[in-house]
Amino acid sequence: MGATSPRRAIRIAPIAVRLAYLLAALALFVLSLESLRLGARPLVPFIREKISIDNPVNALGFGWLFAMAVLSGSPVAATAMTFLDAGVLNGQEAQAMIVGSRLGASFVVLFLGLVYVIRGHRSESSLAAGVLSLLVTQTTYLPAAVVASFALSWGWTEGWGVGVLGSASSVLDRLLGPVTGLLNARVPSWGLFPLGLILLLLSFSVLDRSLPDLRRPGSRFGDLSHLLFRPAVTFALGAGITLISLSVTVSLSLLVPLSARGYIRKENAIPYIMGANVTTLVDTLFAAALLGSPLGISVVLTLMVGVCLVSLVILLVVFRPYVRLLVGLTNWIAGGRRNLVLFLGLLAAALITLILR
Amino acid sequence: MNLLICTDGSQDSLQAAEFLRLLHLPPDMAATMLAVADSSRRAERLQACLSEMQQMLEAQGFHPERLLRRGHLSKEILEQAEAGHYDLVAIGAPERQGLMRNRLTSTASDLSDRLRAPLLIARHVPPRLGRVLICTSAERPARETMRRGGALVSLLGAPATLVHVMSQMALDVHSPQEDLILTAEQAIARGTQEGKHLVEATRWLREAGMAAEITPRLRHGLVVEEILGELEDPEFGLLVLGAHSAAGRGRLLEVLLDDITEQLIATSPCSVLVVWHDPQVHAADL
Repeated sequence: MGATSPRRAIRIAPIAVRLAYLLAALALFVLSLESLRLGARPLVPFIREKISIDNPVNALGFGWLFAMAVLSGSPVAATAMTFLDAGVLNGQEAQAMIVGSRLGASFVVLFLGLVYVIRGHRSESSLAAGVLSLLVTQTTYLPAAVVASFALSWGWTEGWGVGVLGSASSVLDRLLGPVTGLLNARVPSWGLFPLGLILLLLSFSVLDRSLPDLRRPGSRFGDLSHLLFRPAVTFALGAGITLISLSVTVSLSLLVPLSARGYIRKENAIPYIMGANVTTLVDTLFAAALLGSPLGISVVLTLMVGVCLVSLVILLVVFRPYVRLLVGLTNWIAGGRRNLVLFLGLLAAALITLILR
Repeated sequence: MNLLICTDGSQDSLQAAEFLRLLHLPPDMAATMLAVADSSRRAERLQACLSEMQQMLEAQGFHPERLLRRGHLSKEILEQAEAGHYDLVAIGAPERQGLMRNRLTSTASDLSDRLRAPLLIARHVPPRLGRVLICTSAERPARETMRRGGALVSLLGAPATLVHVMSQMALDVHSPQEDLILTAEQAIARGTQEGKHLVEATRWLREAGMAAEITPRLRHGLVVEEILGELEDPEFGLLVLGAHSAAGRGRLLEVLLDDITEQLIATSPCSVLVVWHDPQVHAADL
């Protein structure tokens, strides 16, 4: 008996540490949202008039640029929810900003890879996974954004957010009451938004530390490197793993140590990224729920359903031609530095057009 | 050797008897013709087809037994195959037809997953077989595909290309890139995982009796597309594959895995030989 207790303690200790990280991340996340919400209201004239974010196309470009600036998509999507709650953006603009945050996050992965290539560490072909991830995100999120935008404007999804909220928001309101008072009293209004953003980035960083370790030897996930799974299986796997990791990049990187040589079959990768792209919005949905915003929940759920529908249509109807097209494009883009720079240049031009439109 | 040649009364099904001509089998070999009708209206057409098939086989020196059944095509074939312990089951199939599936093609796909004997799906049979394409997954069941498939292919006396397709890509910039661009010769020279497998698979084919030239080939791209790309060379008259079901994988994994064999049966421009993995042989190998 005496020998088992220390062993049990050794087993429990890492779980306790992860739980502590999770709680800390949650507390930081709640605090950051409150700070962003308070700090967003004074930003209305700046965002609407100074930088002219006044339509969904601008908002998409803004989300994209913002995600590149903070090197991540999730904090930007959560910020879009606080903008919606504070009345800075309307539902369609907030949704477009979330779409932009996903495009920006994929772009960042590719851009950082390019820097690595330019420094001479690797060839352009090593960026294939990054290029493929960006292409999958672009080809699913952009059509999904159109579907979701129509669904929102026609009011199809108006009631979706109300049922989800329940009493959670009122409990949080009571919990956050003293924090709100403290923030208002101690932090100048111009400092609330930057403070919220820093806390939000910190909360995602702490959340990464709380992730369960999927790198167990002998795991079946490792078979992704050589076995060919049905597209629906890897779609579900991508959705499931990202539901835990909350980030497509983290979800993909989790597969690296699981496969013997750090490889994944292209046929497996595409549905995996599609699935990951659906559940990566769960943290944004959580942010909308914490903010007590039925419209915010409706905006995120509509987009999630849109991405899911577009992905399922691709998987069930045009999967093979779609895979051929994307793999062909990926091979061309990652086939040489000139092609890669041309592709990134086109994306940069698209981004500038979106912002200036 | 004991053969089962199946027909549903269609002209396409006669391709099975036509392919046997290429196998150079001894004329005293036991052969059974199984004709299956799903309705009485087809019975007359079935008799005519059976007679035509019999003439074709007799011209090759066989004296086939005739069996006529009524019922579901794949169910009747499976029942007869289990009862007769055949070494090869042959069925004809039409040319590939895009999205539309012919009844014979659907039956072939169904049989490929359930039949324990090697299954020959004869299609677009050439007057002379120029070359055979043998696919290897580089997985454990590949050993039996090479041994059982190699034994049948050795009867053709034709040269073969042994192909493995790598559709892998690096997950991140730190993953090694070199193996993803190597040719078969380079992979063999460097002793990579794929190179070692190609050498081993060639040895298994030789042990199975293949005396003709065997050319190892490593292709990079999507698996189905690369195999179909290789088959664009009209010299290829037969594609050899392992069955989707594999011993030791477990039923759940079989459900989770993509059925490449079914996709290639539907889209291959030439005949296909599907080799099932026998759990007992597999266990003995281990």
